Amino acid sequence: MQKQKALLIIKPDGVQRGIIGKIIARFETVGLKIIGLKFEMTTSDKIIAHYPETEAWFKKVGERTLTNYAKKGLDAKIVFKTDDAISIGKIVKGWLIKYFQESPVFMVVVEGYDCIEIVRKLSGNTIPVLAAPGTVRGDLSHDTIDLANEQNRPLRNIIHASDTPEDGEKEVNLWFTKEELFSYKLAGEKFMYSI
Amino acid sequence: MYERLIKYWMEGPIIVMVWQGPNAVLVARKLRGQTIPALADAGSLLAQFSFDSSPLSASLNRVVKTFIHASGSVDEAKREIKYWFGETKFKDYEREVDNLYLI
Repeated sequence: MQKQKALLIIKPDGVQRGIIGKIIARFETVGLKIIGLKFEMTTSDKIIAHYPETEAWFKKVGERTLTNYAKKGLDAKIVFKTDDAISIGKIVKGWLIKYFQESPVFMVVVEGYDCIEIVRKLSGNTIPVLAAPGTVRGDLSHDTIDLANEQNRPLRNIIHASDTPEDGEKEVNLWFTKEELFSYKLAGEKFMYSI
Repeated sequence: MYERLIKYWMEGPIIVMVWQGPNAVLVARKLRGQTIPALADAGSLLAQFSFDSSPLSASLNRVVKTFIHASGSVDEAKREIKYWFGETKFKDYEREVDNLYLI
């Protein structure tokens, strides 16, 4: 089995509420290894590069937003002045760029077997109100799509966690240099993996 | 002694951070506790996570593993921050809670 890397970003709402340590501790105690850490005021360029700048991504986000609006019987045109999925995706990305720059963000690279699956599980559903108890988003936030829409802002969901092993590699390389990542052994590894 | 200290600090990567707040040095030292874990007050970090002591470390030919360093005075903090972070410009940001005890 191959080890995977995942990028975690404690977003400004997590930083503002003083729960950075509490969140990181959850990933540490499950046995993942922290191999990189930094606290940074990000730039628009970095955030633009972080979220895929592709039609497919804009469309996916736009369509998800339209579906959420339709479910609630709300008119997307009132907020976005358009009902074109790609245009809406671009507006949402603009919100995200602003959100990520509300304060410094705390970035962590974790490594482990099935790391991606584990960070997704521990982070919970990306919509905090739907996230299960025991997950970061379920325990530490209750934001909803309705509220975010009403306030014309993105969901504030505390943490970003890489979605796939490929995203993990890509995101880690975007935010960290080779010199900022460490290779070392944890005391517990021998007992976790019998190696 | 010095060599053993260096060896200890280089056993793995370390995390260096700077905290800011009213009486930050005093508060950090209090939370950390007395330098020798076995003698530290219950509730302090050193007492909660370690039982290391001078006799134990001496018998193992190593320094006491105090696992967290905290600047001892404001002057020491200034010197150490400069040493570890150089000319780094620190993030200037505010949190809503910062004013809770300051107004």
